Formats: sequence, C-alpha cells, structure tokens
Amino acid sequence: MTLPVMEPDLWAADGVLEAWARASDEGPFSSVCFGERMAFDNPETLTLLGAVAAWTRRVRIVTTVVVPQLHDPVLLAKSLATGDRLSGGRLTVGLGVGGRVEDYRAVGADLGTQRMRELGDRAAVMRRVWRGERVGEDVGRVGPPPVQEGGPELFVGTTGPRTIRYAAGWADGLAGVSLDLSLERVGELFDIARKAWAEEGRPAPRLTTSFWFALEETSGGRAREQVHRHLRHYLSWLPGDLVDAMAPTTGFAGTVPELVDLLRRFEDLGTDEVQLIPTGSDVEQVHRVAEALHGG
Amino acid sequence: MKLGMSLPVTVDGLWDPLDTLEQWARAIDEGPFASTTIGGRVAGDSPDIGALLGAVAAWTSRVEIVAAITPQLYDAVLLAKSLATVDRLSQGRLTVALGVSARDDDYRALGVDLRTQNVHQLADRARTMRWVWRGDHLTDTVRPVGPRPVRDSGPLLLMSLFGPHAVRSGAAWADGVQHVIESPDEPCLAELAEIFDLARASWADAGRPAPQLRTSFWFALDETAPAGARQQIEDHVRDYVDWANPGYVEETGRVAGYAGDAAGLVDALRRFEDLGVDEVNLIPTSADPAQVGIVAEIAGKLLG
Repeated sequence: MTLPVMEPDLWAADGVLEAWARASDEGPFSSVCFGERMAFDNPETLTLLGAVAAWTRRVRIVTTVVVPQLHDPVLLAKSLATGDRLSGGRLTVGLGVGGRVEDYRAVGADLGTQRMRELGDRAAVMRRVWRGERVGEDVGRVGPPPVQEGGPELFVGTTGPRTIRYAAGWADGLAGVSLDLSLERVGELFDIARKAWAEEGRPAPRLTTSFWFALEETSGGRAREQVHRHLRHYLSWLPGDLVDAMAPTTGFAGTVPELVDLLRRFEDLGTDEVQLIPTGSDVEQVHRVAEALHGG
Repeated sequence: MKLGMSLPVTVDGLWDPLDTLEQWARAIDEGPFASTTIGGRVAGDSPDIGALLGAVAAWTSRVEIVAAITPQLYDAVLLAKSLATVDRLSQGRLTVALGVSARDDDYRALGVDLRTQNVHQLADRARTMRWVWRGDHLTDTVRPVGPRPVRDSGPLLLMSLFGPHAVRSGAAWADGVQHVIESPDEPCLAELAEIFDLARASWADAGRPAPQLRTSFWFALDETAPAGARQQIEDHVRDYVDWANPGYVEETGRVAGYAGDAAGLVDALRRFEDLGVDEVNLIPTSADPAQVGIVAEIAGKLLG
C-alpha cells in the first residue's frame, strides 16, 4: 500500500500518514511505499522514511521511487542505511530517473544526469558505501552499515523495456507502474525483464508493479472522478487537457471485489507484489482493501 | 531555566541494541526535558540527521526537537523541505540550530567546497530556507517546494557559532543562540555571560526581539560510567575529536564537560540560573539510556 503523500489535503489533519502506515502494518499488506517529488507539498522522502520505520514493525518499506540524481549519492546511501537500521532491515529501495525537469531545477541538480547510465553509476556508489568502502582520500568510512548484508535490495523504477535492459546489470527487481492496467503490457515487460536478467547471469528479478486506485465504496460511487481529481493535482507539470484525456483510462476505479479480482489477474502473471497508489487520503480505503484481502 | 537532552548520535554503541535511540527519545519525551537535540556527522556511524529526525518526530509527542545542522553540507532547498517535513510530522515542534562544522572530512565525504565553511554561507543558507518555508518559488516550477511548516514563519532558528563576530552576525537572521561550552566551570560560565550580553545587545541593535539564549555541554555520570565518568569523557573525546592534534585531544579530555555524580550535576546546573539562560542542553558521552532516568529525577528537583 502506498501512502497518500501526494494528496492536497494530506496536512489538513494531523496524523494522516501515521494512520495509513499503522493500518498498513496491521496487514495483510506486504509493504508500505512512497515516492519522491521536490516542487510539491509531499513530505521529503528520506525524512518520511525515518518516521515510517518508527510507525511500523512488520511491513517492508519501499521507496517508489527515489531519484538519486536529486541527492548526493554518498549522503543518500547514508540516509537509506539509516532507514534500514531504524526499520530493523525492512527497506527496499526503488530508484528512478524521474520525469520532472522542475524537480531537478528545484534542488540545483544537473539535468545532464537525467539518464539511466547515471542511475546505475549512483547505485554502484551507494553499494560501495554500504559495503564500508571509503569514498575518497582523507575521508573515513561513511556509515552506519545497513542491517541487510550488502544493503537494501534495489529495484529500478520503470515504465518500459529500455530502462529494464539498462538496469539488468545492477537492479534486483522492477518497481513498475501500470497506467492503463493492461495485463498484456505488464506481462510483456516482465518477460523482457526475466530474459534481460538471465542474459546478465543474474538471479531472477523481483517483479513488482503499481497502479492508482479509487473505490466506489469510499468515494460515494464516484471512484473515476476521484482518480481524475488526483491526476489533475499530481500531474501538475503536464498540460491539463492531456491529463483529462488520460483520466478515463488511467488506474483502477471500481468496487472492492473488482479490485480483488484484478489483483488475482496480476498474481497470475507472476507478479511478486502489486503496490496500490491511493488517489484520496481517507484511511478507510486501507481498511476496506485489507478486509477484502483477508476474506479472500 | 529549561533542561534539554541530546540523543547520543556520535557515541560508541549507539546501534547496540538497534533500538537504543528509540529508548532515549521515548524516555526524554516523558519529561521533564524541554527538548531533545539531534546532531551527527556524515563520516562514521552517526545516523543521517533527516531520517533520524523523522523517526524522532514519530517516537515523541511532547518535546521540542532541535536539529543541530551544518547547512553547507546539504542543498539548502532540499534541507528546507526535509526540515519542514519534520515540523509537520511533529506538529510544529521543530527548532533548527545552524552551525559550521569544523570537520573537514564531512565536507569531503559529500564533495562540498571547504570554502563554504564560514558565517556568511551560513546566513545565506538560512535565508534560502526561510524563502522555501514561506512558499516562494526559487526556480521555475509549477508549485513551490513544500510542505509549508506549521508556523508561517517556519521553525525557530538558532545560531550555534563561536566568537563575538559570529554572535553579532547572527542578529540578522537567527532567533537566538545555542552556544556550546567546553565545561560548566567558572571561566566558561564567565565567557558565556559575555556572549549572552553581546547577543542581547546585538539583537537589540538590530531591532529584533530578545534572543533565545541556550547553551550545552558534555556530561558523564559516575552512576553509569563503569570506568569512571572522567574516563568516559576522555574516551569519547578521543573518538569524537579524532581530527584534532593528539595534545589538544588529551587536554580537552581532561577538562571537558561535567564528570561526576548526579547530585553534583544539579549543583553545576544551578550555576547557570543567574546567567538568564533559557535552556541548558546536556550532551551524552555514552549510549546507556539509564542516564536519561537519572538526570530526569534530579532535574525534577532542580526545576521544581
């Protein structure tokens, strides 16, 4: 379950994120996820990581995704290792290039680094830090060491075949996102990943994907409207008419039983984990989905 | 006079057991401490400040959270976003103490220009952070970098610097001073009184409200130091001030901080009351969480 970090009313009441994290930790969810934006009202990713580690005891914590080019890689490695320590080794790190030029500008990051090659380079630097190697002359080791040997597993944030081939050499899995819920397309992507990882002589990749969702039961029967409203807010860097055109076919809008049914079909594709991305901040959504999954 | 307690982020054993910092934070939150301070280093096993601040906001519900930071080590906009997040997660309990780390290896570890290690850069970063907290667009983005802190003006900003020049310059941007002293002895207290007088005068000259006056020092207690309180501080100094020359380290270890029993610490703290200090912050030199309870008990007496 993804935390509602991109919701406009996130901060209107205290404790929204805590309620979501604790409800997700109660199960049956396998992970709590959150992504990164800069020029937006969402919480800063690595700061939130510490809080989520403190609020939860059981679930894995997944960044979906963090953009390493927006950070110093040594500091990012230290922050993530700290998150792994604070959570007792429950961290999984999704890394992505990030599609928003404005987020690069906001923190003075070099736009020339907005490429897959840079992502792999930064992943390598982080792993060196996690192994306890020195990052330069006259610099002591930068700890703390992660709890997980060699550091948290690294997933590549992806929407297409090109990023997958680039990442097969270093990533442990995929942190995918499905806009239109095309099972066929997700299946193809997974096949490409299995093949690319095999060609690199690496263990089979962990296959995860995510999609936006809204429930009829918690939206007064206006689930599609809820998705649309969320997209208009979240996709702030895209032209409004483009977002309007995407909205009718993006994400899941339906009843809880329909959602469970859809999740089963993802399971049949060999998906290791589906991360649901909320389009509203009402924690009741977590309870409804949890109940249905328990029942199934 | 209020009392604060730092988290032991730079001591040996801070991760053993893994929930040591959580034990400290929860114990401090129970009182009577007014604040808990979180600092740290880049090199070494200190936790990352941002991630730890998030956790401390989650572990506590009452105390003021003081982030002791060298902003030059970070991107000022990203740092402002991180601190605003802490302020939100803690319902407005964040205060930020900005200083200039003298540890060159922290700068080198992050590829940060050592020439930024000065007061002017500090003021510059403070200004940038205030702009971000106000909701200004610093670059061409659809939305500004959020979230907004709980208070419109953002968290309280303290200046943590040494020397008269630094104190005067802080009046332009800080809401007060957090002055670390070597030890709670008479010479250091006399020096502190001068610093505070200078701060009051500088803030008044700048037409600003009276500054918050805070100080801090290392401590070790006989009750929880197996090898003796003085030995604990000597060991900590050797470990923590590893960049300085050995003679200085040895001399500092012999005199720095408070080393003694809990009753003596109360006497030491009483001597601060006449200075008009708003808060004294104690910095631990070992990871033993039992210290929080012991100091809490004696502080209860002190604070009435």
